[in-house]
Amino acid sequence: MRFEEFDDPRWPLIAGAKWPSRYAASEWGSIKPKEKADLRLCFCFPDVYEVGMSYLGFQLLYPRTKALDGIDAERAYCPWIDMEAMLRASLTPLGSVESGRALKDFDALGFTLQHEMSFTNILTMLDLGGVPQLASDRTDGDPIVLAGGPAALVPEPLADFIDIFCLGDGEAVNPPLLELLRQTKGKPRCERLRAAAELPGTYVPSVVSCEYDEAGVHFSSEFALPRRRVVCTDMDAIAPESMIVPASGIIHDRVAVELFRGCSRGCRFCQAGMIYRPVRERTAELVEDRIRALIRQTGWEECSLVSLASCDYPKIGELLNSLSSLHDEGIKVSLPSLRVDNFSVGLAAGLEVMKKGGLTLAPEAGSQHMRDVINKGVTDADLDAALEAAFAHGWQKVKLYFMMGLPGETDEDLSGIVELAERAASIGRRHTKRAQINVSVAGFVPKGHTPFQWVAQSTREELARKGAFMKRQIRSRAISFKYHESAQSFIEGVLARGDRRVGRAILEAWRLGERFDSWSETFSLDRWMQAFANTGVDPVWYAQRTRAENEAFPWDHIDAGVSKAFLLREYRRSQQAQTTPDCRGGSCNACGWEKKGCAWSGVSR
Amino acid sequence: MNRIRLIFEKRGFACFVRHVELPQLFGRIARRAGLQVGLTQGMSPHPHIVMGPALPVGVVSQYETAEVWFESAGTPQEAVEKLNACAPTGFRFLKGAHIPADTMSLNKCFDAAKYWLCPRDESRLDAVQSALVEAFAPEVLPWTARVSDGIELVMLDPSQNGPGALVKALIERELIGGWPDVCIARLVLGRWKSEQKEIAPLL
Repeated sequence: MRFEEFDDPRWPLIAGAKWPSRYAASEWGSIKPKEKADLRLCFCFPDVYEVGMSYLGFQLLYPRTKALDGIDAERAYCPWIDMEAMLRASLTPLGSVESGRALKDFDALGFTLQHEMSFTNILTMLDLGGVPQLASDRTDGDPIVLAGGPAALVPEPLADFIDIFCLGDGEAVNPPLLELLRQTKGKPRCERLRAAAELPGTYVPSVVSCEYDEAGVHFSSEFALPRRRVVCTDMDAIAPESMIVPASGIIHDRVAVELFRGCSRGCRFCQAGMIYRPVRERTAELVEDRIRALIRQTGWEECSLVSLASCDYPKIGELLNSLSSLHDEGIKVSLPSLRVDNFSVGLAAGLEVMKKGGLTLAPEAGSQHMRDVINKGVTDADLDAALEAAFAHGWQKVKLYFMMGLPGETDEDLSGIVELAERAASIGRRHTKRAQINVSVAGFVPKGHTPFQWVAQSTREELARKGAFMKRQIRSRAISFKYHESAQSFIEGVLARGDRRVGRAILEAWRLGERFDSWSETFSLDRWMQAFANTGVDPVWYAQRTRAENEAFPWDHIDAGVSKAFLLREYRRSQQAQTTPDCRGGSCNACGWEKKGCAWSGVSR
Repeated sequence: MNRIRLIFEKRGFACFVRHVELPQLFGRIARRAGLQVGLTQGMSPHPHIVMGPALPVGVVSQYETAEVWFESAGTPQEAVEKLNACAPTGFRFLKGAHIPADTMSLNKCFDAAKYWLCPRDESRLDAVQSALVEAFAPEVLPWTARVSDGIELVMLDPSQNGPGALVKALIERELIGGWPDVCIARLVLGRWKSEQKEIAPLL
């Protein structure tokens, strides 16, 4: 045709898609594939493009991988269900954004496991890409399937599908692993996997067998167990120099620069706070330098200072001051996570972009008792001060996030959420007639590698009762109250603490049509329950039972860095509602990192 | 303020980038190029960028228009070169011209657009041409012509009449099932010269 783009077989598919712009692949900053490469890796994000492009991890790893000698990287995203159907109907394999190369034609695929609800999408991508879903079905010519990210630290539900799990920071784990795969290309698959199993930060499930009994899961292997997570200690050395900017809007459409990795606050429900330890800070000068450079390189008009608790960055005030001149260039600065205190709200008040819309605070629990149980480290006084500051600075809408179904929770604790919301409304009314409090309460999902890995997840019925109980008590018309007794949380709970046997239920759910589990319009609890029934997997046993303190967990063979002894100690302290102070305040809590390079472990316990 | 009119093309899969996203995209391209875009007046100042008539998602174009108010950009040709060095895949700036500040607004500077159209099923070309002539009055569709690889046609008032209407008419007449069944490209925007049966391009 006169316009050659119309000859591309993908064109009519995209033209018929519900949201064509997610397949446009019009980007600034992506690099053309190398003509010659010994090893071609495709980073695979198991969700749609606009979600995947908002993920900082691939933005960091993509240019670093492309810079490796003889190795090239491309990217692929999960097509939405309409595009999946069209790809199947037209027999078109899923390919990369950069070249359209089918996934089966890469040497390796690198999935990121950001959350459990993306697992079925991994199976979709493999299948559409022409790669056998089961690792045991792959032959020497098939790509090696890698997976990293937080869910790789509880890897067993995906053990049947993944060849090599990458444990820890990709900047540290990937280069030696990819170099090994490059050097061993052409050798028998099992030989390459065994070689990879020797490397730090890898877990190769095919060389680790497991047995089950009443005491739990028992792993055995000729390779050393547990497999240890690997971290980068020098954050300055891995600072990003470039980012890819899509022409179409994405979820997080801005420059993002990490202030630090890890968090020492010790919230007992928070998996990220446990598995990303130790805290590793980037120097403020470098952060500022990279933000300015990335704004020039990307053209983005907003930048975000990313971390698990940005207000904990020691030089946050100075950094924001030094970045204030960006305002004159039309650049907005934002903080993604605010601590619940006067200081943090004051910082946010100085940021134009944060003043738009509502201010979001996450007390997590309503009563002081429950906040002590979860070690949230926020007092009523902190909350009142933060709310006072928010309304004094001119916010009219405050969003408060809570959890229900926390261990040991009583109706009194739930009433505390209502009281806190009413108090927030009252504080707001003192400042403005338009004060609005939006309360959102989500069901708690216990996760592995946390002090609450032993606790039972609440049933949907119990969460529904708790939600209704709170909603009945709301009096103020200034409060909007929403709660979620989500069926999705139940499935997330099963997958989050599942063992290798859960994998067959994931595959069955996918075969029954399950896709995009984190999207309510595609998720189906009925399909999942059918999959569990068909495969003899009891989801309640995985999610809703209290586990014995001495139970051997299906993630015990993965050493995330925080010791099980510390987690147990914290679990027991939670039962006494005893708090544990932030170790950056002076005293080491001996979490497991004290002898492995934690910068704050110098002070004895 | 340096008001520069730009002609650009939107090719390849970039045709699936929505028109509404282009002002932000152009602002980012300009920032990458080191060109400072002026801000609009009013309560909520934003980069002063005006786009030409909207192009539906999925329509390729070799002649799109925009005007950008730069704080300073050198000559239009220099601006075009700098913008092209920072444009994402599928976007290419073809021409630029300095426009006096008091010139009429961009969207009053043209009254016609020329398109190329070809159904995937090329055996229906004659039927498609007949259907379009039947569906639209000459005040909307004053000219069509069969060419070797499809149909070329002119639509008047492109802000109101565009490829969406063409596709709708063809679907109603059951000549196509939807957008995947037809290929459309915008060839030029400008003033319709009815006697010569041609469009005088904007630049």
